[in-house]
Amino acid sequence: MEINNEKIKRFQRDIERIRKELAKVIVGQKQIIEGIIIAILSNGHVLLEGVPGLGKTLLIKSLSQTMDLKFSRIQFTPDLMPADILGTNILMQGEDGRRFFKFQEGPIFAQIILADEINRATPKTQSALLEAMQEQKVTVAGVTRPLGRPFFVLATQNPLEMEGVYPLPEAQIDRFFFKLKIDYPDYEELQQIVGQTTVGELPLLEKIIDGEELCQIQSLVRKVLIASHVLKYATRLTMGTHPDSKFATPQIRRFVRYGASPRGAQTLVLAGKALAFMENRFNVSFSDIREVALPSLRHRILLNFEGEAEGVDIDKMIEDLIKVTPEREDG
Amino acid sequence: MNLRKNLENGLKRFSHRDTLIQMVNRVILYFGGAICFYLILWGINRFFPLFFLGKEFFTLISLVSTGLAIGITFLRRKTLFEVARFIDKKSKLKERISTAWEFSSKKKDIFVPFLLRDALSKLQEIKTSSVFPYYFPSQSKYLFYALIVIFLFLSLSHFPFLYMRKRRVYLYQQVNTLKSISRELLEQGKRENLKSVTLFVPRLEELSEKTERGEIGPEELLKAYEYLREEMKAKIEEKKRELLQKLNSLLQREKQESSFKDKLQEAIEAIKKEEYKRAGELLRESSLSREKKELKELESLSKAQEELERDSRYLSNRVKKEVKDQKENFRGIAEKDNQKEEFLSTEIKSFGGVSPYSPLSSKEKGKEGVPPEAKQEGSLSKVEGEKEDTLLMSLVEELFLPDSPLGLKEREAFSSYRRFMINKIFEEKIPADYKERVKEYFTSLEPK
Repeated sequence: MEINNEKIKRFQRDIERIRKELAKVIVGQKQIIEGIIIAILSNGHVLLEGVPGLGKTLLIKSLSQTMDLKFSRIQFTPDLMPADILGTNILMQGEDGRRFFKFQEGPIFAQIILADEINRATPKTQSALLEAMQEQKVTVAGVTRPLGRPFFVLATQNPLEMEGVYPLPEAQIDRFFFKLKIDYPDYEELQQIVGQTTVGELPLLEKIIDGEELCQIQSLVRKVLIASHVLKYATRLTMGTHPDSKFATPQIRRFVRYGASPRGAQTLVLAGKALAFMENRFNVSFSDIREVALPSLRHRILLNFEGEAEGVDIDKMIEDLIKVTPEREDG
Repeated sequence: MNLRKNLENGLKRFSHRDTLIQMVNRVILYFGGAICFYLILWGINRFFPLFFLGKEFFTLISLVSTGLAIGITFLRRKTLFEVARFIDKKSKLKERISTAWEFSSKKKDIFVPFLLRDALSKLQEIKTSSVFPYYFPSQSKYLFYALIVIFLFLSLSHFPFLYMRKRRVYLYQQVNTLKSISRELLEQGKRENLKSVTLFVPRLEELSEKTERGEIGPEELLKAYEYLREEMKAKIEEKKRELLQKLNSLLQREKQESSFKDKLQEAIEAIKKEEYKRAGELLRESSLSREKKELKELESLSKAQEELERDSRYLSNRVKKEVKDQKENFRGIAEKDNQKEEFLSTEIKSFGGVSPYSPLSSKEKGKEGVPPEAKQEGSLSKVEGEKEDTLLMSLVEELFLPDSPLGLKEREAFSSYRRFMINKIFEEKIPADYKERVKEYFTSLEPK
């Protein structure tokens, strides 16, 4: 891959254009858009938590349009089976009358997937999707098939419904790069949404990059430089989520059962790199790490019974941790 | 490579400024600390003499403190990476400079040249003064507080209860002079084997020790100086006479070369003018080893004599000044008492009563002669017996004489006299058991 300054600048401009294109159809939600772009650039998947009707499908569809990626949507229900996601071998008959099995690809064989209400499916089906996400390949009837590149899953879950749902186990949640929380739009944003979506048709979005270019950007993002002291800061921040760590806050020591895994530290650094790249920089800063700390760590911290009982806010806990973790190792 | 070099140079620009600021601030603090330390020692010296104090000691601690400040600054100066981090933080450069510096030697990474260029362009936009502005060291306030405390401490020495200590300080210079003269004479005497010079050493040492212990007062010391000077003078005269005789006899010998004779003649003239050093130089090439040794003796003794004379003059001036101050002090007290007395008598007269003090004016009182209290129990005659060695006693005597031009009143005289005696109690060597009795005695003399 020939990389020069011009190409890098073009990629950075393209990302900015994608943001602007998405802003044409999605009102507000800047943090969500930015989080999703960061996750895509880092080749990670996103778990989106929010009530229905907030434009999740529109957002993901629009994203696939601007990136010219194959999109598919899977509505998770309790009776959804792994084969419904991965695909299955079906019996076919050839022109010569001989019968043979042909693999019918499931919706997972796309590049951008919206896994809607993932916590409604049984754990068996959930794990089928999550394994595919992690490995980026599926094995059906002993045959392993690679998934398309790039491959991005946006799973949503409804935080309100408690019955008839199968909450994702911690090990599965850890596979998501980011957990984003989508909130209701505010007064002005809602006005703008209503005005924009009830008149005529939604604007057609311009295709800005293709899958191959996205893969190039993904590999470039990994090459963004991170200084040792910034890397140490990210490590300290991750370690700080552990109740028995010397970097932990008193609240974490009291209410947390398990802290973020090494994957959490990897996420912090990778997301920081993507953010730096998006901001036309070639190095990760402390502020990049701080900015991506919440979506990277919030789903990786497991509260103990006392924490659950007290209704401790994990986001608040991470914010406090960011405040007390010094940039310098010696404090 | 050039990019790395440029970045290094850019960082050094900041590093130099930071080092300079740190150094200036450290020098201020350390030198200020040294001044405080010296002042503390100076204060202590007023009570317990410290002989190492002086210009040389001050120069030494100043040099040591400055050297320490410079040395510590160089040892603790920031590395270029730390400087880069500081620039990043101060200029909000999002760790560009520090990352660029860290990766500047790694050519493999794609982004390194881009980052280096980016960092360099940002670095050129920043002024060194904006990252490392000069600031006055905040710790200097502690120096300021310390100086205030020291000055307060030093002002304590003005209180009368410390008078005795003060007197020891007063003679400290004399102790030093005596020690230095004896040291010089001893060194020279040993080096050149000059017996007459070393003879004075034990006496000078004894005198300095006695003065240091406070066994000798200024008046006694002046007398001792006078005696020593006379003795030295006599020794010098004797030596001079002998030497001149020897040289004259040498000169009269016919065998001598004319050039030698000229020099000899010149040396004789120099000795007569007491220019012993010059005489020694004239005879340096001659074989007159004995005469040269005697010249050295003369030189050392005359030098010691000069120093003693200089110090004696200084001490004598100080003593005179002290007496003058004391007189003025007495006069001031007397005037105040006069005013009080006149005021009281006027008040009493206005009520038609009689003053417990004498209603007479000070002039009238002066005519009355010796105050009645002074006549009682032969009190003053006891004091008069001790007066011979004390200059200040003569002042007291003067105050009490009926014909004294000062013409002080009984009460004025007594108050001055009491003050003087209290000072004496502290100043003079009165056995501890007797102090209270002396006090009681003078209290009994107090006009009722």
